[in-house]
Amino acid sequence: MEVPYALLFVSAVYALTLLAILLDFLQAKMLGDVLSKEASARRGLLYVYLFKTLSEVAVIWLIVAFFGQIWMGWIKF
Amino acid sequence: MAGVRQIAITGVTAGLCLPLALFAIILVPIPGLPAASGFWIPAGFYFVMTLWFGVWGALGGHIATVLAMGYFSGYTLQVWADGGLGDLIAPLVALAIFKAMGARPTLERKKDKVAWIVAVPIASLVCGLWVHTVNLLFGVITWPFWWIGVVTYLVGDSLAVFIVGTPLLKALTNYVKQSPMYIWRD
Repeated sequence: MEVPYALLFVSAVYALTLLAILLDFLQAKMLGDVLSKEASARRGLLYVYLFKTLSEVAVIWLIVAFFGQIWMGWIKF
Repeated sequence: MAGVRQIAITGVTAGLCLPLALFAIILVPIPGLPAASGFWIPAGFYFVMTLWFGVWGALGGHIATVLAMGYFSGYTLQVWADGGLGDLIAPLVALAIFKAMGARPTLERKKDKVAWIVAVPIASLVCGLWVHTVNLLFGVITWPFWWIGVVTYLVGDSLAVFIVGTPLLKALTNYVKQSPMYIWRD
């Protein structure tokens, strides 16, 4: 079965996006104490971290929804 | 009083929830019910933002819903206002239940977990009752669809809030506690 080029390219982008997000979650977990300490000193950092994490979760959902739509046949290549 | 932080909370919540609301309506529509979705994923985000930051988070969810409906042609102002208000009311109901029970969004104590488990379905039910009763009274839907709407809102909204909201509250509330915008003071 041949994979259409557009699907291959988009899948590669999404795979790397997911990897970057997972690594970011891992980094945040490892730096938990540092982040907590710094966030109390610099309020802006707290909001950046918070909004970034929420955005990442939203992106994960949209990627899952994208492949779900391919599976359902709503997006075709 | 609305300051820069409050506007930022509302703006970010609305910006996050807007694409999620749009695709929730497209991907999981409920036939016969205008602008309804069987899995309302943005609720997971604006419930959490409301439990952290109060009415400013709920307002973001409201704005996202109203704007998302703008993508679809043919909705009357009543349908827009009805759905938008439903999504403003729901997280505030959850917040009121947390306040009434003396619970906190950290979900650390048993009381917090019970409040979360109780508040989400009740808030989703209130939202479903509001949206579909108003639609029924305006003649937009009929009785059989009222039942379908109320039940799918109860199940679909609750599922989305539990799946997205629970890990967010557990993972991030301890950071958010440091914000002066955080509404709970122990």
